[in-house]
Amino acid sequence: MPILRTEHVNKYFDKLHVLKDVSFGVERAETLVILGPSGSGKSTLLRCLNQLERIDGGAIYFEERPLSYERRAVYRNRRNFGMIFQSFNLFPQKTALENITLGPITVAKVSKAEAEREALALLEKVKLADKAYAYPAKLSGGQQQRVAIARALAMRPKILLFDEPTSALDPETIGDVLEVMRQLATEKTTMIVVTHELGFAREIAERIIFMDMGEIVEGGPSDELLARPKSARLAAFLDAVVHK
Amino acid sequence: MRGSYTFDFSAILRYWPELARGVEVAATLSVLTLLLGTIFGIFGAVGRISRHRTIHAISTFYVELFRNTPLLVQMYIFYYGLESLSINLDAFTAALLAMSLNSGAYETEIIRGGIIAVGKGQTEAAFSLGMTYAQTLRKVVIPYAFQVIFPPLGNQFIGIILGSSVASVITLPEITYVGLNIGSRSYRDFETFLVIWVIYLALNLLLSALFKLTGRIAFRPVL
Amino acid sequence: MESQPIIVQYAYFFLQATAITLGISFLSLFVGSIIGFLFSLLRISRSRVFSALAFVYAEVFRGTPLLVQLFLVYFGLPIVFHLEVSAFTTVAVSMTLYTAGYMTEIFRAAIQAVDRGQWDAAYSIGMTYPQALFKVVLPQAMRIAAPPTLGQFISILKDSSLASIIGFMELTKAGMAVRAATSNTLLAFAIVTCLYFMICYALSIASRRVELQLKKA
Repeated sequence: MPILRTEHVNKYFDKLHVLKDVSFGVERAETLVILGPSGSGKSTLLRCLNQLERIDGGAIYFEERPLSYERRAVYRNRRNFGMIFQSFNLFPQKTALENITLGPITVAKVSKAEAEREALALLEKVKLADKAYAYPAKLSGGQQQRVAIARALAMRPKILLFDEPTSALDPETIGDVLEVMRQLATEKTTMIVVTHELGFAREIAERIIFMDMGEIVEGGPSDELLARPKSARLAAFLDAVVHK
Repeated sequence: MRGSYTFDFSAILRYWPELARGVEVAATLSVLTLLLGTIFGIFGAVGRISRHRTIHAISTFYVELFRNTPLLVQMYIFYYGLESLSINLDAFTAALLAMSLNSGAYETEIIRGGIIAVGKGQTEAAFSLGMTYAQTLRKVVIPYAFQVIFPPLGNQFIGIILGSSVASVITLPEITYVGLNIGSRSYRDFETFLVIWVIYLALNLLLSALFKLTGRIAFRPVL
Repeated sequence: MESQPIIVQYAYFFLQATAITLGISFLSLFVGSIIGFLFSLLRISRSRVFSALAFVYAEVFRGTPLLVQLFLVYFGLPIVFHLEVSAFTTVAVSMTLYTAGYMTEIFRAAIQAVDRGQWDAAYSIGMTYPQALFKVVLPQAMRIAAPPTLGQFISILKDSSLASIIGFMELTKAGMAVRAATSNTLLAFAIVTCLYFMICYALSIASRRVELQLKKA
């Protein structure tokens, strides 16, 4: 039984039909990559999952219960997810530690002492314990992204959502973030990763869904999909990337 | 114990010819101020950009002086101050000088901002196409700078109209002065000033709408 | 008859007047900021009614001359509220309401200038709208609002000169009083001009420095 699934999800931005009849599911402990060119709607789809965006048709089921759009339900639902953004979105006037403890203290009403203990443990996990008191401006892109991952983990989400996590990073630092994600995968964290970077997708995906122009074109185990694409569009996408 | 106050606007609206004349004076003053102020602004902007030490210093001094002192004091100086030096300016001229120098200081920065906004990129592109300095200025810099300057200039004009109310203290018969006059004659200062207030608000809304419309028409994005 | 220069004779008088000018300006800024802050929250609310209300307030108070507002309060307060009002009350009330109009805009712009991603990040960890607003966005908005607020203070200092017209004893009125007492128009005006200039110029330099500091952070 998939921990999260969507059924015939449709979304419009004004007249633009950005998500067309999207149905998919993700299993517990799985690392699913949603791959596709820019503008394919994959980021929008991700943002619909933690209800940063509203859907116009269809339904989203978390643990087989449909998501409600009532305000307080939305706030509660979001705690099941942790989101990591392309531009990190760390809180600039707070130290790395404070970035991580803000959620637990404000939302989960955890005590400051406990929140800090957990935060330091998380920083250890992402190998940034020595940067606990640094401000985001002093951290490299890769470091900021790892702090962002720790911040999301601090809320103990059931699913991690990654929105183009490496697209704003230098190639050297991508490796650090990749390592953290691999570790999370071995710890059986459920992750949905949206990316247009094929190399990155290849590294972490167990299963891939390929999206183009708002619809799911095909999906399957990552090795198979990438080696033997069944659709012309995916073949074209893979071809274009290789020849860049 | 509260007595009630009966509003009587008809007593004021009888004076509408005087109010109309007040608006006319204010409008004339404002338009002339904008024109003169723009001329001062252009000189000021050129001076502020100039690398010539003295010119730069003088224009900077002009801008800082007029932006860091109140318009009211500036008006007093041109009206009463010059009078003490036996230079007797009438209220309109004194107000015009004070307001255009004041506005010019602000317009200097607006115009300077417009010139800077053009940036090196566009001029370099024009030069690499083989355009001369004059052609670049005419076809690239000025049109773009004008587009950038237009909205703040519109705001400046509205500021000028609102600022014209200060000229009432040096007895210029613009809107506020007429208001004080009517108010004291009719003993209904409150209603008078409500009307005055509405007149300024109406002028503001009208001109803002006009500016936005003009901007939209004149700067229609080229397809 | 003492023949001390006017400057020395009236030094204390001008100093007092300057202090009053600074005081009334600061009061207007302080209370005006509180009112403006509340209105800015209304302005960004999802309720069209509240947003429109705040919008109208700001447009009306920014879009009409302060002098007319002063006269309105001066003539209106006794009539509407049956209060015997002093020049001080008139000036305080009027300038505060006027400033609040500008502060509404300043705070609104600052809040909307905070990167959208900050809202997303706050929501993603489960924060409610009030939590996101007060704990994440507003602290950042306040920093963005600092330079324009300082600029507004400089504006208020200059605008306070209008209070002299309804008889309030601040710097400009002090200048007029000394002018009447000494018949030395030019010197009186020169002193007033210098005092305004020194204060406003110093503050504008400080404001530019603050802006640079904030850009670095």
